[in-house]
Amino acid sequence: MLKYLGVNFRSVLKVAAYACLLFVLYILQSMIFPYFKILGTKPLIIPVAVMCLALFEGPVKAGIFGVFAGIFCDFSFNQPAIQFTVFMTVMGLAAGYLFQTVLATGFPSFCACTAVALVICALVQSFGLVFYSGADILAVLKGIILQTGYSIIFTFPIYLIVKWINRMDKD
Amino acid sequence: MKNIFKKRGIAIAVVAVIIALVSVITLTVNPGNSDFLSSVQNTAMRPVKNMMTSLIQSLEKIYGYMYKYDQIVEENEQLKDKVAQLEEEYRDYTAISNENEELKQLLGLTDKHSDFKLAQASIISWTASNWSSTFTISKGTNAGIELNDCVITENGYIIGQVTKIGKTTATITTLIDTSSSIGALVYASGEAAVAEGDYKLFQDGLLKLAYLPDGAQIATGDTIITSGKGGYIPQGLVIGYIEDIYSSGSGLADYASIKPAADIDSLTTVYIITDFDANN
Repeated sequence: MLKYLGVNFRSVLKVAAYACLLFVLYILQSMIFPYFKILGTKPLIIPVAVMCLALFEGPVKAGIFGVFAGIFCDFSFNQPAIQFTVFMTVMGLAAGYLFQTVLATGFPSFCACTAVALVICALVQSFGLVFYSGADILAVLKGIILQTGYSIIFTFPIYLIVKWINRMDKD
Repeated sequence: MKNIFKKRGIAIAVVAVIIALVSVITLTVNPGNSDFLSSVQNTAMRPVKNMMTSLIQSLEKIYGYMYKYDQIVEENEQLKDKVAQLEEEYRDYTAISNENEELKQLLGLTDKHSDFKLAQASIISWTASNWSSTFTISKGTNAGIELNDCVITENGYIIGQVTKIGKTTATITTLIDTSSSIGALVYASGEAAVAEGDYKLFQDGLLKLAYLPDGAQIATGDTIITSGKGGYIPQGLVIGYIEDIYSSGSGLADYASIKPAADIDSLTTVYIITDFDANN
Protein backbone atom coordinates (compact mmCIF):
# COMPACT_ATOMS: atom_id res chain seq x y z
CA MET A 1 0.00 0.00 0.00
CA LEU A 2 2.84 2.35 0.89
CA LYS A 3 4.53 1.60 -2.45
CA TYR A 4 1.24 2.30 -4.20
CA LEU A 5 1.09 5.68 -2.48
CA GLY A 6 4.68 6.30 -3.52
CA VAL A 7 5.95 6.24 0.06
CA ASN A 8 9.19 4.51 0.87
CA PHE A 9 8.80 2.27 3.93
CA ARG A 10 12.35 2.98 5.05
CA SER A 11 11.68 6.70 4.98
CA VAL A 12 8.63 6.21 7.15
CA LEU A 13 10.72 4.18 9.57
CA LYS A 14 13.33 6.92 9.64
CA VAL A 15 10.73 9.58 10.47
CA ALA A 16 9.37 7.36 13.24
CA ALA A 17 12.89 6.88 14.60
CA TYR A 18 13.50 10.64 14.71
CA ALA A 19 10.15 11.12 16.45
CA CYS A 20 11.08 8.51 19.07
CA LEU A 21 14.47 10.13 19.55
CA LEU A 22 12.87 13.53 20.11
CA PHE A 23 10.41 12.06 22.60
CA VAL A 24 13.16 10.27 24.54
CA LEU A 25 15.30 13.42 24.65
CA TYR A 26 12.28 15.39 25.90
CA ILE A 27 11.70 12.87 28.70
CA LEU A 28 15.37 12.99 29.65
CA GLN A 29 15.59 16.79 29.55
CA SER A 30 12.35 17.57 31.37
CA MET A 31 11.90 14.67 33.78
CA ILE A 32 15.26 13.04 34.46
CA PHE A 33 18.05 15.59 34.21
CA PRO A 34 16.43 18.20 36.52
CA TYR A 35 17.30 15.76 39.29
CA PHE A 36 20.91 15.32 38.14
CA LYS A 37 22.44 18.73 38.36
CA ILE A 38 26.14 19.50 38.15
CA LEU A 39 27.08 22.69 40.03
CA GLY A 40 23.36 23.49 40.14
CA THR A 41 23.06 23.27 36.32
CA LYS A 42 20.88 21.06 34.10
CA PRO A 43 21.88 20.10 30.55
CA LEU A 44 20.10 21.19 27.37
CA ILE A 45 20.14 18.24 24.98
CA ILE A 46 17.32 18.84 22.46
CA PRO A 47 19.27 21.57 20.56
CA VAL A 48 22.12 19.07 20.13
CA ALA A 49 19.73 16.77 18.23
CA VAL A 50 18.67 19.65 15.99
CA MET A 51 22.33 20.35 15.13
CA CYS A 52 22.87 16.65 14.36
CA LEU A 53 19.95 16.66 11.96
CA ALA A 54 21.25 19.82 10.35
CA LEU A 55 24.56 18.04 9.74
CA PHE A 56 23.15 14.79 8.35
CA GLU A 57 19.79 15.74 6.82
CA GLY A 58 20.22 19.28 5.57
CA PRO A 59 18.40 22.54 6.27
CA VAL A 60 14.80 21.65 5.36
CA LYS A 61 14.52 18.50 7.44
CA ALA A 62 16.46 20.11 10.29
CA GLY A 63 14.07 23.06 10.17
CA ILE A 64 11.01 20.77 10.35
CA PHE A 65 12.60 18.83 13.20
CA GLY A 66 13.45 22.18 14.84
CA VAL A 67 9.75 23.15 14.93
CA PHE A 68 8.83 20.11 16.99
CA ALA A 69 12.03 20.19 19.02
CA GLY A 70 11.37 23.83 19.88
CA ILE A 71 7.81 23.03 21.00
CA PHE A 72 9.08 20.28 23.28
CA CYS A 73 11.80 22.56 24.59
CA ASP A 74 9.28 25.27 25.46
CA PHE A 75 7.11 22.67 27.23
CA SER A 76 10.08 21.51 29.27
CA PHE A 77 10.72 25.13 30.33
CA ASN A 78 7.08 25.60 31.45
CA GLN A 79 6.61 28.35 28.89
CA PRO A 80 4.31 28.74 25.87
CA ALA A 81 5.48 27.32 22.53
CA ILE A 82 6.91 30.54 21.13
CA GLN A 83 10.51 31.36 21.99
CA PHE A 84 12.31 28.10 21.30
CA THR A 85 9.81 26.97 18.66
CA VAL A 86 10.90 29.87 16.47
CA PHE A 87 14.52 29.81 17.54
CA MET A 88 15.09 26.07 16.94
CA THR A 89 13.45 26.27 13.52
CA VAL A 90 15.77 29.09 12.51
CA MET A 91 18.72 27.29 14.08
CA GLY A 92 17.96 24.09 12.14
CA LEU A 93 17.60 25.95 8.83
CA ALA A 94 20.71 28.10 9.34
CA ALA A 95 22.93 25.28 10.60
CA GLY A 96 21.78 22.95 7.82
CA TYR A 97 22.58 25.58 5.20
CA LEU A 98 25.98 26.34 6.70
CA PHE A 99 26.94 22.65 6.92
CA GLN A 100 26.07 22.24 3.24
CA THR A 101 28.02 25.30 2.13
CA VAL A 102 30.86 26.64 4.25
CA LEU A 103 31.33 24.49 7.34
CA ALA A 104 33.32 21.27 7.53
CA THR A 105 31.24 18.18 8.26
CA GLY A 106 33.73 16.31 10.44
CA PHE A 107 32.96 15.58 14.10
CA PRO A 108 35.33 18.23 15.61
CA SER A 109 33.82 20.93 13.43
CA PHE A 110 30.34 19.72 14.32
CA CYS A 111 31.23 19.82 18.03
CA ALA A 112 32.45 23.37 17.77
CA CYS A 113 29.30 24.44 15.90
CA THR A 114 27.10 22.74 18.49
CA ALA A 115 28.92 24.55 21.28
CA VAL A 116 28.27 27.87 19.51
CA ALA A 117 24.60 26.92 19.07
CA LEU A 118 24.31 26.06 22.78
CA VAL A 119 25.85 29.39 23.75
CA ILE A 120 23.32 31.16 21.52
CA CYS A 121 20.51 29.13 23.17
CA ALA A 122 21.71 30.27 26.59
CA LEU A 123 21.90 33.88 25.40
CA VAL A 124 18.32 33.64 24.12
CA GLN A 125 17.21 32.27 27.50
CA SER A 126 19.08 34.91 29.49
CA PHE A 127 18.17 37.88 27.26
CA GLY A 128 15.31 39.00 29.48
CA LEU A 129 17.40 38.63 32.63
CA VAL A 130 20.19 40.84 31.32
CA PHE A 131 18.16 43.56 29.59
CA TYR A 132 15.00 43.70 31.71
CA SER A 133 15.93 42.40 35.16
CA GLY A 134 19.42 43.89 35.25
CA ALA A 135 21.02 40.62 36.28
CA ASP A 136 24.75 40.58 37.04
CA ILE A 137 26.62 39.98 33.76
CA LEU A 138 29.31 37.81 35.35
CA ALA A 139 26.70 35.59 36.97
CA VAL A 140 24.92 35.23 33.63
CA LEU A 141 28.21 34.35 31.87
CA LYS A 142 28.91 31.74 34.54
CA GLY A 143 25.46 30.26 33.91
CA ILE A 144 26.05 30.19 30.14
CA ILE A 145 29.42 28.44 30.50
CA LEU A 146 28.08 25.83 32.95
CA GLN A 147 25.02 25.05 30.84
CA THR A 148 27.03 24.78 27.61
CA GLY A 149 29.72 22.65 29.25
CA TYR A 150 27.24 20.19 30.74
CA SER A 151 25.23 19.95 27.50
CA ILE A 152 28.23 19.39 25.20
CA ILE A 153 28.91 16.06 26.95
CA PHE A 154 25.87 14.60 25.19
CA THR A 155 27.04 15.60 21.70
CA PHE A 156 28.82 12.31 20.96
CA PRO A 157 26.03 9.84 21.88
CA ILE A 158 23.34 11.88 20.13
CA TYR A 159 25.64 12.26 17.08
CA LEU A 160 26.05 8.48 16.88
CA ILE A 161 22.31 7.84 17.21
CA VAL A 162 21.37 10.36 14.52
CA LYS A 163 24.12 9.00 12.26
CA TRP A 164 22.64 5.52 12.65
CA ILE A 165 19.09 6.73 11.96
CA ASN A 166 20.32 8.66 8.94
CA ARG A 167 21.56 5.42 7.37
CA MET A 168 18.16 3.73 7.67
CA ASP A 169 16.97 4.62 4.19
CA LYS A 170 20.33 4.08 2.54
CA ASP A 171 21.41 0.78 0.97
CA MET B 1 44.74 -82.58 54.76
CA LYS B 2 42.36 -84.12 57.19
CA ASN B 3 45.22 -84.91 59.56
CA ILE B 4 46.63 -81.41 59.40
CA PHE B 5 43.23 -79.94 60.08
CA LYS B 6 42.62 -82.33 62.90
CA LYS B 7 45.94 -81.48 64.57
CA ARG B 8 45.92 -77.78 63.87
CA GLY B 9 42.20 -77.45 64.38
CA ILE B 10 42.48 -78.43 68.04
CA ALA B 11 45.33 -75.93 68.50
CA ILE B 12 43.33 -73.15 66.96
CA ALA B 13 40.35 -73.88 69.19
CA VAL B 14 42.54 -73.87 72.23
CA VAL B 15 44.01 -70.47 71.28
CA ALA B 16 40.52 -69.08 70.82
CA VAL B 17 39.43 -70.29 74.23
CA ILE B 18 42.52 -68.80 75.82
CA ILE B 19 41.86 -65.41 74.21
CA ALA B 20 38.26 -65.46 75.43
CA LEU B 21 39.38 -66.40 78.94
CA VAL B 22 41.87 -63.53 78.96
CA SER B 23 39.12 -61.09 77.93
CA VAL B 24 36.77 -62.42 80.63
CA ILE B 25 39.47 -62.15 83.25
CA THR B 26 40.34 -58.60 82.14
CA LEU B 27 36.72 -57.55 82.29
CA THR B 28 36.26 -59.15 85.69
CA VAL B 29 39.34 -57.51 87.15
CA ASN B 30 38.70 -54.02 85.59
CA PRO B 31 34.99 -53.64 85.18
CA GLY B 32 33.91 -50.72 83.01
CA ASN B 33 37.16 -50.60 81.07
CA SER B 34 37.67 -52.10 77.66
CA ASP B 35 39.39 -55.36 77.56
CA PHE B 36 42.89 -55.59 76.13
CA LEU B 37 41.96 -56.79 72.69
CA SER B 38 39.25 -54.19 72.29
CA SER B 39 41.71 -51.50 73.25
CA VAL B 40 44.27 -52.74 70.77
CA GLN B 41 41.64 -53.02 68.09
CA ASN B 42 40.33 -49.50 68.76
CA THR B 43 43.76 -47.96 68.71
CA ALA B 44 44.78 -49.71 65.52
CA MET B 45 41.51 -49.05 63.71
CA ARG B 46 41.00 -45.45 64.81
CA PRO B 47 42.63 -43.84 61.77
CA VAL B 48 40.70 -46.14 59.48
CA LYS B 49 37.43 -45.44 61.33
CA ASN B 50 38.04 -41.65 61.14
CA MET B 51 38.69 -41.87 57.44
CA MET B 52 35.54 -43.92 56.84
CA THR B 53 33.39 -41.56 58.96
CA SER B 54 34.65 -38.57 57.02
CA LEU B 55 33.97 -40.34 53.72
CA ILE B 56 30.44 -41.26 54.76
CA GLN B 57 29.70 -37.68 55.84
CA SER B 58 30.90 -36.37 52.47
CA LEU B 59 28.72 -38.89 50.68
CA GLU B 60 25.77 -37.83 52.80
CA LYS B 61 26.31 -34.18 51.81
CA ILE B 62 26.47 -35.08 48.15
CA TYR B 63 23.35 -37.14 48.56
CA GLY B 64 21.63 -34.21 50.25
CA TYR B 65 22.77 -31.83 47.50
CA MET B 66 21.61 -34.12 44.72
CA TYR B 67 18.36 -35.39 46.13
CA LYS B 68 17.34 -32.38 48.27
CA TYR B 69 18.33 -29.74 45.65
CA ASP B 70 14.76 -29.17 44.48
CA GLN B 71 13.63 -28.79 48.07
CA ILE B 72 16.37 -26.23 48.72
CA VAL B 73 15.54 -24.26 45.55
CA GLU B 74 11.88 -24.15 46.47
CA GLU B 75 12.71 -23.02 50.00
CA ASN B 76 14.99 -20.32 48.54
CA GLU B 77 12.22 -19.02 46.29
CA GLN B 78 9.80 -18.91 49.21
CA LEU B 79 12.31 -16.98 51.29
CA LYS B 80 12.93 -14.54 48.42
CA ASP B 81 9.18 -13.90 48.13
CA LYS B 82 9.00 -13.39 51.86
CA VAL B 83 11.90 -10.91 51.78
CA ALA B 84 10.30 -9.00 48.88
CA GLN B 85 7.01 -8.86 50.78
CA LEU B 86 8.72 -7.60 53.92
CA GLU B 87 10.65 -4.98 51.92
CA GLU B 88 7.39 -3.73 50.39
CA GLU B 89 5.74 -3.59 53.80
CA TYR B 90 8.72 -1.63 55.12
CA ARG B 91 8.46 0.84 52.22
CA ASP B 92 4.74 1.29 52.87
CA TYR B 93 5.47 1.80 56.55
CA THR B 94 8.11 4.44 55.77
CA ALA B 95 5.76 6.28 53.40
CA ILE B 96 2.92 6.20 55.95
CA SER B 97 5.27 7.34 58.68
CA ASN B 98 6.47 10.30 56.59
CA GLU B 99 2.89 11.21 55.66
CA ASN B 100 1.94 11.03 59.33
CA GLU B 101 4.74 13.42 60.19
CA GLU B 102 3.64 15.84 57.44
CA LEU B 103 0.05 15.71 58.60
CA LYS B 104 1.13 16.41 62.18
CA GLN B 105 2.97 19.51 60.93
CA LEU B 106 -0.06 20.50 58.87
CA LEU B 107 -2.30 20.11 61.91
CA GLY B 108 -0.07 22.52 63.76
CA LEU B 109 -0.32 24.93 60.85
CA THR B 110 -4.13 24.73 60.61
CA ASP B 111 -4.43 25.20 64.36
CA LYS B 112 -2.35 28.34 64.09
CA HIS B 113 -4.11 29.60 60.95
CA SER B 114 -7.63 28.32 61.24
CA ASP B 115 -8.79 30.66 58.45
CA PHE B 116 -6.62 28.95 55.82
CA LYS B 117 -8.32 26.78 53.23
CA LEU B 118 -5.69 24.45 51.84
CA ALA B 119 -5.45 22.24 48.77
CA GLN B 120 -2.76 19.57 48.78
CA ALA B 121 -0.92 18.75 45.55
CA SER B 122 2.07 16.74 44.38
CA ILE B 123 4.87 18.11 42.25
CA ILE B 124 4.79 16.35 38.88
CA SER B 125 7.72 18.04 37.15
CA TRP B 126 10.36 20.72 37.55
CA THR B 127 11.41 23.15 34.84
CA ALA B 128 14.39 22.06 32.74
CA SER B 129 15.56 25.67 32.49
CA ASN B 130 18.63 26.92 34.37
CA TRP B 131 17.28 30.48 34.30
CA SER B 132 14.08 30.06 36.27
CA SER B 133 12.73 28.11 39.22
CA THR B 134 9.26 26.77 38.51
CA PHE B 135 7.45 23.48 38.92
CA THR B 136 4.14 21.95 37.90
CA ILE B 137 1.65 20.50 40.37
CA SER B 138 -1.06 17.90 39.96
CA LYS B 139 -4.06 20.16 40.63
CA GLY B 140 -5.65 23.17 38.94
CA THR B 141 -8.90 25.13 38.85
CA ASN B 142 -10.84 21.92 39.43
CA ALA B 143 -9.44 21.90 42.97
CA GLY B 144 -10.34 25.55 43.60
CA ILE B 145 -6.84 26.88 42.90
CA GLU B 146 -6.58 30.33 41.33
CA LEU B 147 -3.85 32.46 39.80
CA ASN B 148 -1.53 34.14 42.35
CA ASP B 149 -2.53 31.76 45.14
CA CYS B 150 0.20 31.31 47.72
CA VAL B 151 1.97 27.94 47.99
CA ILE B 152 3.45 26.70 51.28
CA THR B 153 4.95 23.63 52.95
CA GLU B 154 3.26 21.73 55.79
CA ASN B 155 5.26 23.89 58.22
CA GLY B 156 3.84 27.11 56.81
CA TYR B 157 7.03 28.12 54.97
CA ILE B 158 6.24 29.95 51.78
CA ILE B 159 7.44 28.35 48.54
CA GLY B 160 6.01 30.62 45.86
CA GLN B 161 2.89 31.58 43.95
CA VAL B 162 0.70 30.12 41.25
CA THR B 163 1.69 31.84 37.99
CA LYS B 164 -0.08 29.64 35.45
CA ILE B 165 -3.26 27.67 35.90
CA GLY B 166 -5.06 24.96 34.02
CA LYS B 167 -7.97 22.71 34.87
CA THR B 168 -5.87 19.89 36.30
CA THR B 169 -2.40 21.37 36.61
CA ALA B 170 -0.79 24.61 37.73
CA THR B 171 2.68 26.13 37.45
CA ILE B 172 4.27 27.51 40.58
CA THR B 173 7.06 30.09 40.48
CA THR B 174 9.22 29.76 43.56
CA LEU B 175 10.37 32.73 45.57
CA ILE B 176 13.99 32.43 44.38
CA ASP B 177 12.93 32.91 40.75
CA THR B 178 14.11 36.24 39.32
CA SER B 179 10.52 37.26 38.53
CA SER B 180 9.36 36.74 42.11
CA SER B 181 8.70 39.68 44.43
CA ILE B 182 6.99 39.45 47.85
CA GLY B 183 6.30 42.09 50.51
CA ALA B 184 8.37 41.18 53.58
CA LEU B 185 8.88 42.13 57.19
CA VAL B 186 11.92 41.61 59.41
CA TYR B 187 10.28 39.69 62.27
CA ALA B 188 12.49 41.07 65.04
CA SER B 189 12.27 44.77 64.17
CA GLY B 190 9.10 44.91 62.08
CA GLU B 191 10.87 46.79 59.29
CA ALA B 192 9.33 46.46 55.85
CA ALA B 193 11.26 45.41 52.77
CA VAL B 194 10.81 43.36 49.58
CA ALA B 195 11.98 39.76 49.17
CA GLU B 196 12.74 39.32 45.48
CA GLY B 197 14.62 36.95 43.21
CA ASP B 198 18.12 37.87 42.05
CA TYR B 199 19.97 35.79 39.43
CA LYS B 200 23.34 35.95 41.19
CA LEU B 201 21.81 34.73 44.47
CA PHE B 202 19.51 32.32 42.57
CA GLN B 203 22.51 30.23 41.58
CA ASP B 204 23.17 29.64 45.31
CA GLY B 205 19.50 28.97 46.09
CA LEU B 206 19.05 32.35 47.85
CA LEU B 207 16.88 35.43 47.34
CA LYS B 208 17.40 39.11 47.99
CA LEU B 209 15.96 41.30 50.72
CA ALA B 210 15.87 44.69 49.01
CA TYR B 211 14.36 48.15 49.52
CA LEU B 212 15.37 48.20 53.17
CA PRO B 213 14.57 51.47 54.92
CA ASP B 214 17.50 53.76 55.76
CA GLY B 215 19.18 52.72 58.97
CA ALA B 216 17.51 49.32 58.98
CA GLN B 217 18.62 47.22 61.93
CA ILE B 218 19.06 43.67 60.68
CA ALA B 219 21.38 40.86 61.63
CA THR B 220 22.40 37.50 60.20
CA GLY B 221 19.88 34.85 61.18
CA ASP B 222 16.94 37.26 61.45
CA THR B 223 13.63 35.72 60.40
CA ILE B 224 11.89 37.28 57.41
CA ILE B 225 8.11 36.88 57.16
CA THR B 226 5.50 37.94 54.64
CA SER B 227 3.93 41.35 55.18
CA GLY B 228 0.56 40.42 53.67
CA LYS B 229 0.53 43.51 51.43
CA GLY B 230 -1.21 43.01 48.12
CA GLY B 231 -3.85 40.65 49.44
CA TYR B 232 -2.64 37.50 47.71
CA ILE B 233 -0.29 36.28 50.41
CA PRO B 234 -1.27 36.03 54.08
CA GLN B 235 0.80 37.88 56.65
CA GLY B 236 3.17 36.02 58.91
CA LEU B 237 4.35 33.18 56.68
CA VAL B 238 8.06 32.51 57.08
CA ILE B 239 10.07 33.37 53.97
CA GLY B 240 13.51 32.51 55.34
CA TYR B 241 16.47 33.71 57.37
CA ILE B 242 19.07 36.37 56.63
CA GLU B 243 22.21 34.68 55.34
CA ASP B 244 24.43 37.68 54.61
CA ILE B 245 24.22 41.46 54.73
CA TYR B 246 25.67 43.65 52.00
CA SER B 247 26.52 47.20 53.00
CA SER B 248 27.08 50.28 50.92
CA GLY B 249 30.12 52.47 51.46
CA SER B 250 28.46 54.30 54.38
CA GLY B 251 28.19 51.07 56.38
CA LEU B 252 24.39 50.98 56.29
CA ALA B 253 22.75 47.78 55.14
CA ASP B 254 22.06 47.99 51.42
CA TYR B 255 20.47 44.63 50.90
CA ALA B 256 20.67 41.15 52.37
CA SER B 257 20.53 37.60 51.08
CA ILE B 258 17.84 35.28 52.44
CA LYS B 259 18.09 31.53 52.72
CA PRO B 260 14.57 30.18 52.14
CA ALA B 261 13.09 28.32 55.09
CA ALA B 262 11.58 25.75 52.71
CA ASP B 263 14.01 23.22 51.25
CA ILE B 264 12.92 23.86 47.67
CA ASP B 265 15.04 21.14 46.04
CA SER B 266 13.53 18.40 48.23
CA LEU B 267 9.85 19.27 47.81
CA THR B 268 7.41 16.55 46.78
CA THR B 269 4.10 17.69 48.29
CA VAL B 270 2.90 21.30 48.56
CA TYR B 271 -0.15 23.09 49.96
CA ILE B 272 -1.95 25.88 48.15
CA ILE B 273 -3.82 28.47 50.22
CA THR B 274 -7.03 28.76 48.20
CA ASP B 275 -8.69 31.10 50.68
CA PHE B 276 -7.81 33.00 53.85
CA ASP B 277 -9.03 35.88 55.97
CA ALA B 278 -6.93 38.90 54.98
CA ASN B 279 -8.00 40.73 58.14
CA ASN B 280 -6.76 37.97 60.44
